[in-house]
Amino acid sequence: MKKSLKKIVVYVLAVAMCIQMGATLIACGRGGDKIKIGVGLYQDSGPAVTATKNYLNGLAEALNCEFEFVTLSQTSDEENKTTAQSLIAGGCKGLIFTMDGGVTPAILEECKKAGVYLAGYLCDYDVNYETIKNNEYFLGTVVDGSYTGYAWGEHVAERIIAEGHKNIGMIKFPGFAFPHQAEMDQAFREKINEYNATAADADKITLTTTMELMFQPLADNYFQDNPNIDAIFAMCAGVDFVYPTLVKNGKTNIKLYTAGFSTDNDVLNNFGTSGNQCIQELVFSNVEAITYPLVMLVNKITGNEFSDNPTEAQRVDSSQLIITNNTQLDLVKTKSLYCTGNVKDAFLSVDDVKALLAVNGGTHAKLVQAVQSMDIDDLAALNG
Amino acid sequence: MPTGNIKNYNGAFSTENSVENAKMGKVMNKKERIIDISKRTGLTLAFPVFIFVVMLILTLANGITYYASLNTLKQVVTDASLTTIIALAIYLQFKNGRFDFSGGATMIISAIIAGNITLKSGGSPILFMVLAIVFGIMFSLITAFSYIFSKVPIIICTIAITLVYESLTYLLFDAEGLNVISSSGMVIFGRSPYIFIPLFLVLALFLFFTYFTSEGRRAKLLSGNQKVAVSIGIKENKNVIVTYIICGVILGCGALIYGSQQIINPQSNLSTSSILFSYIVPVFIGMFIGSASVDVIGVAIAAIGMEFLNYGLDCLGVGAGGYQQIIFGAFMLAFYAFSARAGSIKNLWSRIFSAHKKKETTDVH
Repeated sequence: MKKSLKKIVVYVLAVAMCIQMGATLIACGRGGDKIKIGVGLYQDSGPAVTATKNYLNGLAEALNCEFEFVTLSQTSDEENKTTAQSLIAGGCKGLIFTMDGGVTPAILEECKKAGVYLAGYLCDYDVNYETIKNNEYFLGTVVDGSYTGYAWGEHVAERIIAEGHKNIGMIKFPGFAFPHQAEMDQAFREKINEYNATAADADKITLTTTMELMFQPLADNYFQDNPNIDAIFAMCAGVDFVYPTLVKNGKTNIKLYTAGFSTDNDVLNNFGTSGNQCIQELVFSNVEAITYPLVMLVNKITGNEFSDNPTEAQRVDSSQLIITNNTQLDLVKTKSLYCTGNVKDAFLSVDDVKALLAVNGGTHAKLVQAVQSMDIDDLAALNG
Repeated sequence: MPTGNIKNYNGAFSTENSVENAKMGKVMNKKERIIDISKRTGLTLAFPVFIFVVMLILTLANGITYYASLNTLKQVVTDASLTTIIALAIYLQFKNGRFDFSGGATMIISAIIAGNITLKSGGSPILFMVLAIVFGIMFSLITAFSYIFSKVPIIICTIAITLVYESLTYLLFDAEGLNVISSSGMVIFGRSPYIFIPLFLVLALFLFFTYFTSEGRRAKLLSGNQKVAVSIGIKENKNVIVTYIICGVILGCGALIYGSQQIINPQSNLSTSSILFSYIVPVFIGMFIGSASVDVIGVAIAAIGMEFLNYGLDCLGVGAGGYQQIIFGAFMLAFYAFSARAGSIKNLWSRIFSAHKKKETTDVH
């Protein structure tokens, strides 16, 4: 009796295993047609993540792709390498990563072994770009805005001069982590110095020494240290690191010009001429910039190439949404993919992206132009 | 002033000495009493005064003149409010023989839920306070019952609970956390002078529970030796539930202030425990300082001292990053080394003092 029971159990298990294996093979066979791409983002939630997922999933069918999303570690390179290995083992043919680091060459080694390609998204690959730009498995990256920070620094200086602020606090992150913020600082100072050279003494603008925030909120004593400032140029993420201290200390009369963005009403309701009128400038990169690495990957994986394909991996600037007034903010809130999460609000429709593929006659120049034509004026034009 | 159930950190300065004196029939006269109270007040205030003086010298040496100002004092006392509240929440469990990792998660999830509901209901600060306390108690009770029914060690149980509460921060309110810092009407309890309302509520509750309830007094037995305490008839489960309710109120008040002052993002990987234990230093310093008076005062005074230190480091430009960590670590090491030898220092002082007195007596004769 016991023997026959054992036999039955063994037969049942064997049949179950066969069914399972068959199902797996069928699933693999079906999935094999699609190009699987692993997308590593540095955040696990928030509007940017939601919008990125929605955008890519919206493109998936038309591009015959499927996407696997993972969150990269901001502190552990080794973890990121393990993540890349897992994605490759899971069948990904391409990887889009938002982070560079010491392990990027090692990740590319893994890619080489498996015939998988890597491309960057909102990351300048400053750590490894020079050594990997000729690696055949690295297909380039789209930068978070401009690679250099001069243009935005100049732009904010022009606003400060035009709006009549006289004592400006300067805040940024440390250079070892954000080297290009020094360029914003330099361009800003040069523009202000240029203005001061011809301005009357009463109109001259005073700048504080640039303070470096060690990824901690601005300290409360800042306002005792700098009692006369009437505006702050925060090259760092001022919404998270500067604005809370302004609020806490009742200093929202100081105008804040900052990089970064938030969809939080607490921030948006105090922008421009609304609420406490503290925040005067917000800047963020478009989710649609991911089109660059995506198209580069799909081209390569499907064996197509642009007629003007670059000989080495490119580091391409992307246009940002720079919000300077309430009208622009309302437009962004209601019509940008980042805020609405709705694919129909994207700068590039599914057909636009398809047309950018090499197989459909797209070129590298058109692709670059596409990710550099997404500023606030383009958004206004797109929405009539 | 209650004297019955005071944690004697190392036997150096204890109000229990007064009790012993009373038992031995040594009734202090008015002069001795005034001297005793002055001595205790002096010992209690010595820590923040010492920190203030050291930081004042350092800031002045660096050309910073605003450290000794009313504004600094106001800032320090305001910042010390939240530090005191969270330190007391940690200490309450610690005092009851439990090391609870879930306090930070309880505070964060309570702040997120209470803050968002309040915001959607018009932004009343009173509603925010009530909801924060209600959710604080609710989540604390869930932790308490999980501990009682699971019968697993408190550390394991509270780590598991922390992970559950943290995952809720991603599931609730579209994973947006809480950002109400600019809603000035709603966040009055995060600023002076209203911040002192939750602070005094917590101080009063802690004092009342610890010194005027039998459950509070039993805590000392449980923290001393849990098995013996249970075998002599103390019901641990009841103690767990009551303590967690009190802790829930304290964490609710902490949630109210924390949510009023900070942008709260979704949390994961025990990050809420980091938030909680970043406030642990005043607990250990407070236990030492409190031996000259009562522990709750010790924790509050320690919090003020630590905020003087933090503010001073900010003024010196080393309020964050590697240097701050080194200074903080060195300070803590020095403090523990001092407190561990406080008994020996006191004995040495007593010997010198009594030898001097003996010499004086001999000289008179």
